[in-house]
Amino acid sequence: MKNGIRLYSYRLVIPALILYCVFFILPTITGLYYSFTDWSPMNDAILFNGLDNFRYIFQNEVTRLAIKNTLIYAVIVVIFKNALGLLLAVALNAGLKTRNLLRAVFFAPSIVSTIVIGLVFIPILHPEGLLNRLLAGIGLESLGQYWLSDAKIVIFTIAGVSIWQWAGYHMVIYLAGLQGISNDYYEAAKIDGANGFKRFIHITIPLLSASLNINLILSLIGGIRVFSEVYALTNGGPGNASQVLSTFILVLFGEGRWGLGTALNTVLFVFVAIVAIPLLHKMRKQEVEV
Amino acid sequence: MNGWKRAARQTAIGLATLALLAGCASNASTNGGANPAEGGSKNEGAQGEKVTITMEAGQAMKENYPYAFNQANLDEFEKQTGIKVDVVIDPDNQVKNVLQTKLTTGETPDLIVYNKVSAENELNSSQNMLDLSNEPWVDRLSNPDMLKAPDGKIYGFVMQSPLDALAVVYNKAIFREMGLSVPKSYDEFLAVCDAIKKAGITPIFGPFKDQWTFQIWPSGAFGYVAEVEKPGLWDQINSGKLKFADVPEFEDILSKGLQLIEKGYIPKSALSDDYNMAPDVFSKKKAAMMIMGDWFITDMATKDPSLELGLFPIPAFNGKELMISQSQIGGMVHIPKNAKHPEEAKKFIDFISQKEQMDRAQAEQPFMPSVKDASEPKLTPLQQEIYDTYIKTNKATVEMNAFMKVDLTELWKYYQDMIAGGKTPKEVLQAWDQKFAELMRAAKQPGF
Amino acid sequence: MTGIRRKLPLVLLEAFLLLLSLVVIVPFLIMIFGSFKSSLEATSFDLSLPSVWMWQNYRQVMVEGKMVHSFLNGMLITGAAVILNILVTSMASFVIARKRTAVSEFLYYFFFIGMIAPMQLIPTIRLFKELNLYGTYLSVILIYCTINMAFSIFLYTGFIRTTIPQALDEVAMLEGASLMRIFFTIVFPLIKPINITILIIVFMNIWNDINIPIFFLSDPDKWTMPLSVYQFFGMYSGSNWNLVFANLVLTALPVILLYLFCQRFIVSGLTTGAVK
Repeated sequence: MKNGIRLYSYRLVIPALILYCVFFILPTITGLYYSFTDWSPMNDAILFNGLDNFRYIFQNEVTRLAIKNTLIYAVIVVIFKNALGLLLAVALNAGLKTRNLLRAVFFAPSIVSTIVIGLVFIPILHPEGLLNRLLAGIGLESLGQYWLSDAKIVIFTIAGVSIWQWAGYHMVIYLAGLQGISNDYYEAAKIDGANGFKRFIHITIPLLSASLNINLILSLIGGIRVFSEVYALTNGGPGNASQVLSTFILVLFGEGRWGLGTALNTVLFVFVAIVAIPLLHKMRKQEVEV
Repeated sequence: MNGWKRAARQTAIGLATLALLAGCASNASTNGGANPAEGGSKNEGAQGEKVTITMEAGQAMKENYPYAFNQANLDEFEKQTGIKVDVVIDPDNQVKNVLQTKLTTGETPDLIVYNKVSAENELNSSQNMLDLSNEPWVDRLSNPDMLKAPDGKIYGFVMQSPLDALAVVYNKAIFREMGLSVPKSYDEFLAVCDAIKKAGITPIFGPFKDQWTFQIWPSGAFGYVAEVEKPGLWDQINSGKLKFADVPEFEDILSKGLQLIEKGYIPKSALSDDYNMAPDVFSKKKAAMMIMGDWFITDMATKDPSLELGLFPIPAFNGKELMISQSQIGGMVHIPKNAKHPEEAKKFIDFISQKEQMDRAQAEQPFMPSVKDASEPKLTPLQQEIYDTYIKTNKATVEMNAFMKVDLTELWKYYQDMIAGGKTPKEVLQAWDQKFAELMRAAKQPGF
Repeated sequence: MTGIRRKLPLVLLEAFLLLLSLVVIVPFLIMIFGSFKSSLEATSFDLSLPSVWMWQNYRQVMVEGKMVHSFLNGMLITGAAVILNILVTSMASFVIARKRTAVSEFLYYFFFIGMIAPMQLIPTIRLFKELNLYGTYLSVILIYCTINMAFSIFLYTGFIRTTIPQALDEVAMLEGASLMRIFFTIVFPLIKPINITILIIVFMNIWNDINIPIFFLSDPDKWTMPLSVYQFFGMYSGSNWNLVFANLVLTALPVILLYLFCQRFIVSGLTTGAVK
């Protein structure tokens, strides 16, 4: 089918490519330049300052804390958003009476804005709030915490809220993938005598490779670039205890140090690229194709 | 290859369509602005083409200083001059970024309403705003010095003279029932707190999850030190000659604030409490006091009219006459240099400085006028109290924040660290000295 | 007997999931109850019922927030951006997924950059000023379309590669159909679940965004629904949380309705017959 392959003309890529290059790549490259300057709304002249910004960033202790928090957060959310999302999708792919309603309910948190997250969860997570009262009610008072004001656990709390919000979103992508799996495979496996768990491992997971990859990559990128959840729940506080890279970028911009903020943005970009692109490359090789 | 040519042609057509759409879109926007639903005959006498100018501000600005936004005045201005004023309100957490971006790219509104010192530091008034020092209304100001930037020029106009108060807000009913009187010193304050605590009520509600709340205590008291005890203090600090950690009063003030938490007068959960919870806490009488400002009393008057709230100066000292603290001049109307209609914008400022407009805005929300020839204001009881007790008798100082040239958020985070037990007051000031120098260097201030 | 044994696990599963859904529903109830309370009552932010159900909160929000107007703005901007996005990215992804050349690999990663590179605000504003498009609906539509492109292409290529057999388009090619036609008549309908999934997610991304309109639409008459919430609360000043909640419910409603409407298409996309 060599002839056929050639027929897939790049013509179809052109509209997307033009829009993308003009309205995204072009400004992004221009913006990159500011990483190497002392750009600020308070200075009229923008001076090139080489690697000064990057030196400052890597010597700053808040950056180190932010990197640590970002990594902790990313690892937790990648694991739990996917595990929960996948389990929900499989469960809600079964013939339940209320499955449409339940799907909508689990998806709903990802629709609401972060303002809601902050407004509703800050009181729930208050030391005398709903969560601690609930724990006390079922005799687990000792598990009660200062969820958002204890510097040691605050980043875990934020990760928890983020899982609450986004598990249903990943569920939807898994569901889309599950629709692509023909029932024939399951029928055949049933005849072979494979039980539900075996069918899940040997049929569902491999055939779900596209959604699995998509979800892993999306949650990883979302995890490293996390902003709104932290911003809405603690704004990086108490002190800098829950500062992550994106919120720290906002702090630098807020201080009027735009060059520095742009530089940290560049660092964040490179950081995500280094983690995500090799992973993506590896996963794409393992995708099952039809 | 034929395919490529075709693709190129299609793309060209596509882009042409986009350009066309763009043309329509921009036409639509100008037309939309010029054709408000209004009887044409009224304006026929005015200058042929109708102009729309934009006035941009953050939400807090419109909430706290609604005077320049008075709708009746805007309508009257349009009627008299044919110039329509469109008001653009940005979210508080975005407004700084939005305006800085607009000033940088030159896509500015015609009027910007912003606090005076904040505008100098964040929007670079001397660089970005028109010099209004020679406008006709300057001579009619009752205190022109109040509006002058450090370079001696005037970059904006305000309708009101300051009447705000950063202070301790307290529940008058609780004080009355317990037979307590307003404390005149830190020691008396501790005694009051102790009595309230023994009665089973939280003495002070501390919404310290919000970074801007605890700072009211030190910022107010630091301002007192600099104004009453050590004149010239801010100049020394801003020129790098003196460090925060070298002012013993500052450390003492922070320690006193911290003590309120250590003694249990402010609950341990303070770092989990935020300002949103305050109305509920006060309305249910769960707490008796809060270190806050007059705006909370005004807000509660509509939310829960049965509540009797009052205020007294921040009692961070012993053996001194206490004074209330005031913030920088708020709600100043500026004209950016890149404004598309600077003349119309100037006309608008002159218009709102006139007696009729001052009076009209007064009718909606009373304030102390900034110009000499306005009518005597009818203040609210709270405003009258602040004016009579503190302003007229010179018992008001200006908080530290009005004198700073850099963003203070980092200092406020150190305060949170201190409350959590991570830093001592001394360490807070030392850490801030370091950060302060760094920010001053980044802002290219001499001496650092 | 066998019927019960087969059904029992499903019933238990359903019961468990319904219980689990409470975790999701409770915060929503706080929001919904809050939207019917009085201004003071709403500041308790808890699971209590309103003492009086104040339906007028919604009317007040609709009027003061100009919700109908901003709803239409949102529909125009979001609708146009989503359609343009799906149109150009699905075509592009089809080719990228099918070609196995260095160029298509490059394109794949080149578009992927869009998911991790931060948007540069000021250069983008300058670009639109140059094009004389700053402040127009079109500018925001183009921005939304492009910043969501990477995501759509990422999803489309993944799914097209793994779920649509190439044999399908090859048969059509032998019959002499043009590529464009093959794509829109054969492939596009087959990937309906993916189309709908991307439609929902991209729609939601754009619908909920507040940053682009603030920076790119200097005329608030063109602003979208999520921005109207700021009329009812501020950072320092007195906020009416009941109105904020009502506003948030109204803003989330279109996306929820869209999801409810679309989800049956997610289920009925690929049939076994088509894959064979």
